Amino acid sequence: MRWIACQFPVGCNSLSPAAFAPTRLQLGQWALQFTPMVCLGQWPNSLLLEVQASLRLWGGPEKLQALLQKGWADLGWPNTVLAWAPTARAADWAAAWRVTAPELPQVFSKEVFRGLPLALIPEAQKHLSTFSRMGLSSLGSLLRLPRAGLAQRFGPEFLEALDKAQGRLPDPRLPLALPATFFQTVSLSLPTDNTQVLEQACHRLLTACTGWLKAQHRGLEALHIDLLQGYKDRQAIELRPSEPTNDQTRLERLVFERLRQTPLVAEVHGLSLEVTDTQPVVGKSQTLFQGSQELQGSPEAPEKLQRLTERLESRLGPESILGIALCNSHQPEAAMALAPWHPPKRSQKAIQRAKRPAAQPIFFEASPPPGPSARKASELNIEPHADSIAGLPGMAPRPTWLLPEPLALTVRRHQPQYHGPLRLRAGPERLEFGWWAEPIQRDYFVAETTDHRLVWVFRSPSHQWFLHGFFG
Amino acid sequence: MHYRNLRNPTLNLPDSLRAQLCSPAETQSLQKSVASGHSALDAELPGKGWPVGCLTELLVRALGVGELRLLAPALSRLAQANKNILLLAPPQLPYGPALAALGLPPERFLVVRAHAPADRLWAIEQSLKSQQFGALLAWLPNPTRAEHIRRFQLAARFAQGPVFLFRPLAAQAEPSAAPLRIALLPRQYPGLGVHILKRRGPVQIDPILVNLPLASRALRPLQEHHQPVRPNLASTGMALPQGNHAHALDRLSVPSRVQ
Repeated sequence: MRWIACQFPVGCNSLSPAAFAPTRLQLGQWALQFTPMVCLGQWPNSLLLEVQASLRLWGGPEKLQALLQKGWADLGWPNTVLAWAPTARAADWAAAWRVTAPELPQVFSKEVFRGLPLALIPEAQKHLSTFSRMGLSSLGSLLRLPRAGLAQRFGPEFLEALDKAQGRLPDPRLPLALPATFFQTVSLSLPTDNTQVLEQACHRLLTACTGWLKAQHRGLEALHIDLLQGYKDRQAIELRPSEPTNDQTRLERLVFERLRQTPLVAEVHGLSLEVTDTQPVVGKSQTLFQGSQELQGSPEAPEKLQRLTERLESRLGPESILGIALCNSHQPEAAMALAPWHPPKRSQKAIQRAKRPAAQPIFFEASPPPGPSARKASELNIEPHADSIAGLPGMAPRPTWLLPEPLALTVRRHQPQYHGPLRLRAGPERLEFGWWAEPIQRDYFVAETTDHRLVWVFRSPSHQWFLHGFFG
Repeated sequence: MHYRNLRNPTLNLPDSLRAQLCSPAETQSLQKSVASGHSALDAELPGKGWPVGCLTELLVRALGVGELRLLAPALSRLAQANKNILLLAPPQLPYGPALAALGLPPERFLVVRAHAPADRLWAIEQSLKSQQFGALLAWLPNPTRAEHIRRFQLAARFAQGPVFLFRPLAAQAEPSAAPLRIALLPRQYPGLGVHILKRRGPVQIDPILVNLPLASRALRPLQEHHQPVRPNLASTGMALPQGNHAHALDRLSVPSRVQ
């Protein structure tokens, strides 16, 4: 067993131990992402983490300690003191000792531990005067005394505490539980409209929030930030990532971008973050061999593209990223639809289908046997100069840039004008549609402008000319 | 024992230095690129194709000079490799059926709409930084300051695909950090004059003529306007198939030099 005790410098922040209790609970909930065994220490400002089983996951004690220190700093407790010991009680006492003596090693061995001042043992508080009269100052000198005498003089509870600290007796503890929803508030010391200060506060809230999410292996679907202004006024920011996520940097980018876009009505004196909707997320497995990441890099690509679109959307608006879909229509405007782009989702079915061996016949997806029609098509492909190809639909030229509305052109000397006279190069192609509502008939031509650009023009039955596209 | 090439001492230099010292023929092997699909153009582009990881400025007078037909072979190869093509702030809507006719699957295209110039510049930089595109085609606001181009060039260094910035012809007088600047000057159908204004390597004076026929030949030609442009076959060593080419859109795609 390896325990880490964290002593928060409550005195520096001028907080009473009672006022610190809810904060300690929140800090403990954040730490649950590292190990399920996080419990409150005996000191009112300490937390205890049992990390033996999680050390490998976090890359060793040094890395885990760095992560913890960074997390405490992000949450507003930069000078938190950490101590490692084999039992919970020993770690708790050692951390309190390290607050007064920072030169001590972080990992406590038995020898160092013997020097612990008795004043730092919570159970010894009522016997302190007796100890000083007996000339006992450190734990080592106390442990040298006969056990029976100690039990007689200080009671079995004190001896039990000593045994638990030394690992002679089991010391069962209840871990902290996670709340079902996340709600935290940060109040700023001064009302401000400075974006940097607000970003810092958001950073702190999001650190706590992602810790809460990671502890339960879930990602948030929506998050709600209230900028508190005045007595009851608030400005709300609502964010919905494209997929459930607990990635802090990603969420921060989205929130910061939105913060910059939101004009503040009044100065902000506090922020609150609320998350109610979460979804389980699947973690990424680490690679077995180093350097094999490049080999399996491709599945990540669509996910990253999604992040880019998410980012662009957060500034440019939800309808700013468009994908192109083809529709089955011979009306030029209706042959294509622009719709908000969505990443190609691989449903469970699709993944299963992909995993299926290729030899297994899939009845509905099998290509039809090459019949006469297919043979005809292939013959056409072989001989594209054949006259019959002119009759094939879809082979007529279409402009790569289509105007949303046809542009009326003036006519001079029987020639349509667009930056000078247009020379018709090919056509006409007659398109008729809409007979059930408003019949439209157009004769389309490919025309060349005087500066040799190719444009798509049409003539209406009333001999009016319109520009409808450019051949890019 | 370190092997040293005595005949060509520049080969002993690190790649970054070599690229600055060597002639374009030698640097070609260093530059990552995507073949443009037009052999005459590939021969003149450093790296034998559209460069990857640096900006390519395309100066055009307006839409419709044949810009997509020029890029289509390279783009379709990227699209076939399941890469996405980003169209950033195109002045008109791209038309899906026409893209499909050029061999470009429309579902591989993402159109980003950004109207304000600041938004457009921001979106370009974000896209370049994300590196998540097979190719990026961006239409720059006019005017764009030179330092923006420099920022884009820095951001484009690690891009995995070619980056094309479309600017008006008038921008050719302005300084630009883009290593490759090309003016597209349309000629009589199906020609497009590709004028390399700036590249890594010697100056190219003659425009390269690339033939970009439309992808279809279904329309009947108007006989009275039919003026065939015979490509110069002597330089390509190809022979025209015998037959009557009475079709305006029925031309071989044979690139040839302007005489």
